[in-house]
Amino acid sequence: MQLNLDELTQLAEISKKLSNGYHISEQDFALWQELDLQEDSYSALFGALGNTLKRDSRGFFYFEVDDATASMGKISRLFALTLFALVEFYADKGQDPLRALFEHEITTEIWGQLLQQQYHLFEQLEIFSVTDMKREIANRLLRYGLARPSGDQIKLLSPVYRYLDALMDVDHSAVAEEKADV
Amino acid sequence: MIAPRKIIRCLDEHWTVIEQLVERSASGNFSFQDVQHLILRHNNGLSSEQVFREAQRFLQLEILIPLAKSSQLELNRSVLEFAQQLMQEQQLGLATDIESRILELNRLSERMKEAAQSRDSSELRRFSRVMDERIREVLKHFGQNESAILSLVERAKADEGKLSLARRYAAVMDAFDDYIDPVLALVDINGPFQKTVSDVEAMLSELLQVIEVTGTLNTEKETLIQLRTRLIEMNQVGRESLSRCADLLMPLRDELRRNTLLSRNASFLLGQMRKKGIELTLDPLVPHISSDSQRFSLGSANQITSYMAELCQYEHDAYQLPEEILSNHSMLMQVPELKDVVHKAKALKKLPDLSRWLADSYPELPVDELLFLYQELSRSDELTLQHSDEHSELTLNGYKLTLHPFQSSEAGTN
Repeated sequence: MQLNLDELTQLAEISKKLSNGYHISEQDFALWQELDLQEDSYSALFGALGNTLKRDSRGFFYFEVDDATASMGKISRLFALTLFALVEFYADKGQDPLRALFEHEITTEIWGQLLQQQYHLFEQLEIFSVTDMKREIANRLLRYGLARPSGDQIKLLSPVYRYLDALMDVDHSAVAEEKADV
Repeated sequence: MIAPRKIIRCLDEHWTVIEQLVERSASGNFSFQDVQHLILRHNNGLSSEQVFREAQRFLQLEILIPLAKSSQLELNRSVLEFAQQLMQEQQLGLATDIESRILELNRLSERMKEAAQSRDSSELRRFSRVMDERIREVLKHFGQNESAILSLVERAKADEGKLSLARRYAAVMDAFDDYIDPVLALVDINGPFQKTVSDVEAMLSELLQVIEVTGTLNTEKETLIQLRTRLIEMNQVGRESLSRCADLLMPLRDELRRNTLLSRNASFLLGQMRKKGIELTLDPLVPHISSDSQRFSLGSANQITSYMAELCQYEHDAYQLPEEILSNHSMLMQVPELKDVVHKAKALKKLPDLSRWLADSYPELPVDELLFLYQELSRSDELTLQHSDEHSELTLNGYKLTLHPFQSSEAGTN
């Protein structure tokens, strides 16, 4: 395959963002369009450099990695806990989570209620206050392209589906069996 | 008997009011005052007396009918159905509406066959007309139900996101369970619908063939061909309409299913995290996020903590000190104090050769130590020494020295 690097005008920016764990979604218009148009070239280039470029049909690109570093594992757990707690929060309020997740901003009030409901879990991940949540979770959600700023608040973006897919795939019976083995 | 033209004129004049009444009929009945308010709203110039008269006109023409034992009103069913038909606001019918007509078709086709066998052309024509009517009704039901489902779906989608999905889509789900499922079973390839259609079609074809061969009942041939065409059309239209309905409802049903699954799994996992711990529960399933900057930097408190923890447990590799090797015994020997040596030399009456005396007194002392002593003694104020005139030779630990040795002056005099 012939690659013309001159055509990959956003290569530096795209490579930097993706390798830092950022998810490029449709809101990053220039980058997304570039990837959309030159997907094969980028995919081949990154592939040769040892990174797997993944495209999700719901409109985002990211690097797939097999092994997460210790700290990234922690961040990912934090994201998962937050999102799962949000799903339960909306469901408890009688809303449908899939719609509410993407339509509502996560306000300070919501952060507060999440923390209150799942304090003992957040506590284990060193989150003790709403300020911690905003600094440790909200900022990182922004940094990894899982959310976008909306005024002072944040609003979730489609890459969150990576976590929702994982949630969909939870197999109750497998967990139950594992438990039985123990 | 009310003159139809009067009714139609009234409907025409107050169509906007009727439209609103149709919408309101979905949620219940209304009072005479409500009707008056509506009329006034749409006809600003009317006096209250005129408004009353117009409302009264609805009642007289039986467009509005009072409910039993109540002053509340409702729209005449015929008017309601007519208006709904025009406004594409039909209510979803029952699967049995269609089923009963299909069974009826089956029954009628038997009767028609009998009529044909007895060559009774007027009976044949009558059954053909009734069957045609039933087929049209089935077609009408399909069309009506499709537009009803369309508006159900639109209403469900347009609804406020604040309501739960299950509640918003309750009507949609009912439509699926009460209409789509049974009708799908009905039109299934092995279901009664398909069987009836093919039976009736076969009967009609046979009949037409008999007519062509024998020439009897030839006048009915055209009607029968029409009937057969309409029957085949019904089959096709019904299937298409049903598949469109299912396509409309399926995604919504799927969405509901996914949402239910999501919230159920979320609370299940949160429970697991509480019981088994976060890492154990989440690690197998959370997505990995790539991070070059994190990978190569020691940034987070966590990493530093684990680094420190490793430091605490740090142990040196066990190191075996080598055995002492006592190769040179003289190394261990105490080097004599200069003071002692001077004192010893002073005590001597006679010291003809300082170097030889030192070598004899401290035979095990290394040469450098010996020479150091020799030098120090020679400079010592307590001894009076001078060089001898003759040089002497001596061998110390393998070194051969030639020198004019110092000697004490007393020795010289002696």
